[in-house]
Amino acid sequence: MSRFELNDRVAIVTGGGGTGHGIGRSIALSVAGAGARIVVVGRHRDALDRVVEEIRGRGGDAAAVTADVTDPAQVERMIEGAADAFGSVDVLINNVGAISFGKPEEISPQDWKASIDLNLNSTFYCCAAAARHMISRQGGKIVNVASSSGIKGEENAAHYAAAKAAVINLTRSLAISWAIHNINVNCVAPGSVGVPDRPVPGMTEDEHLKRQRLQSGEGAPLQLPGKPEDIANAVIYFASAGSDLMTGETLVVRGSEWASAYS
Amino acid sequence: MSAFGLKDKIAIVTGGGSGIGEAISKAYAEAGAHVVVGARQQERLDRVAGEIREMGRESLAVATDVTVPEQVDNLVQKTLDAFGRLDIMVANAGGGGFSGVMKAKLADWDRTIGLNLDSAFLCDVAAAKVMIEQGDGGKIINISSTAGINLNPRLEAYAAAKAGMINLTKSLALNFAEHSINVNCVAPGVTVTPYMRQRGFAPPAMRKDGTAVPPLLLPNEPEHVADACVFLASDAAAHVTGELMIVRGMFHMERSNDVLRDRAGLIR
Repeated sequence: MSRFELNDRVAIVTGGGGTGHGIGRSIALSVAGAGARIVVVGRHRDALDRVVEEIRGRGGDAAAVTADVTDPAQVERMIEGAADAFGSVDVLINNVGAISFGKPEEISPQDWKASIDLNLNSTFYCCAAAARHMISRQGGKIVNVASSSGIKGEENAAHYAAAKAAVINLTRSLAISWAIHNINVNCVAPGSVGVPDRPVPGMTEDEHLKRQRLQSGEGAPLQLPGKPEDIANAVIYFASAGSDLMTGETLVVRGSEWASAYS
Repeated sequence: MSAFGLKDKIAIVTGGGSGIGEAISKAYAEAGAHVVVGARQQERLDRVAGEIREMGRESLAVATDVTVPEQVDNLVQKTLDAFGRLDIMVANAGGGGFSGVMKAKLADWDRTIGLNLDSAFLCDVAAAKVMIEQGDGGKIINISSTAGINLNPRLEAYAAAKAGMINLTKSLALNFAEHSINVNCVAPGVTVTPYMRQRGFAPPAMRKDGTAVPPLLLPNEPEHVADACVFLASDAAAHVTGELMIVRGMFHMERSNDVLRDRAGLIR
């Protein structure tokens, strides 16, 4: 059991306010539950504060840092802020990201760039800034949250899928570069995760309804969308000593959903 | 953290008498499971089972040749007789020992494929039948190898069998998803077992220039592979199925670095 505990580790969770599917919030709460002290990062102070209160209410330790991680200067300050608040950064969880939909031929250059910025560039900025800190301490764990879209492609979200594929590949490159500094870089790629009842930013009402129907459909749990906790547990695994000799890898968490890509 | 525990689960680990299988068995016991170890050599199994009992868990040693269907059935039946159910099957038994394609006879090929691939088929399906009957799901974990992914010019049959195991994992995962049975695969890179260490096959933790090799540039210890197997057997991996987890650091990079540094005259 102890191999998966994160006692007194300091973990940054970007997108931890959980305004989308709630994966970030679930990661923050679960990683705190595993014993880590959490720095929750996001743009919306209210959402961050709610997660911090929730963690403290369960006896955990957390702080909120407001930052837009698509801005390298803010990322730099975010890492410094986290190190100041808790003394170090042991774990970085790059969860920030969002999907938007559109036929490829209709994606505007602005939308394309915005998706690459939010889903890929932010990940690189955070990894690099955290690694500069981790290299000085010769150790750390980085967990990127990509998407199965980055492996299988996505019919109406090519910009999102391309960015997530890049995150998976970035994970490999960084793992090679930083192995010598004892920094593990791994990736969790969620498949479909159940949507909450409330509207999800960036998701049309139609898409939301479609996903709600899917998750309440017939089938065994492995044939239905996952839960945010499923993603959070995989993140804990890669943040823990249980994955000390894994680096550059991507674990896809999607039940048997992958099968549709082969059959 | 209870999601990562295996409290009172009943697990079978084939090849559990030594090396990676022994480490998996003990890690499962540590996480709260009761473990049935199966392999050909009773003495080794008895030692591991004894050590698991000393940890406060129950254990059973069942001498098994995993290439023989009746013996695999016996392994599962003995487990049911003793514990009444089966939650986790780890098809770990396997081995190399292939003489190379130019010298090998079909019988040599068959023997290696049998030990590494037939065995997984037999164990996985025997376990799944019980799990489907029980009706509350289960976990099946196949131990493959990076040999099943990489180029292996001297391990053709072993590599082919281990590659087959990776694909078998996906087919079975799809077959058993409706029964809430997760089927996953772990592919360890070079893993220094006690046997390898005794024979001097463990690469030094110090470089020739006196500096320490960073931990991520060393090969696996069996416990690293066991950690991945605990995760996959636990509720924490409830939504993971048909997947491959490669357990290796960057040892292959360190080795090639050493070659490059040697060539560049940097190592004396």
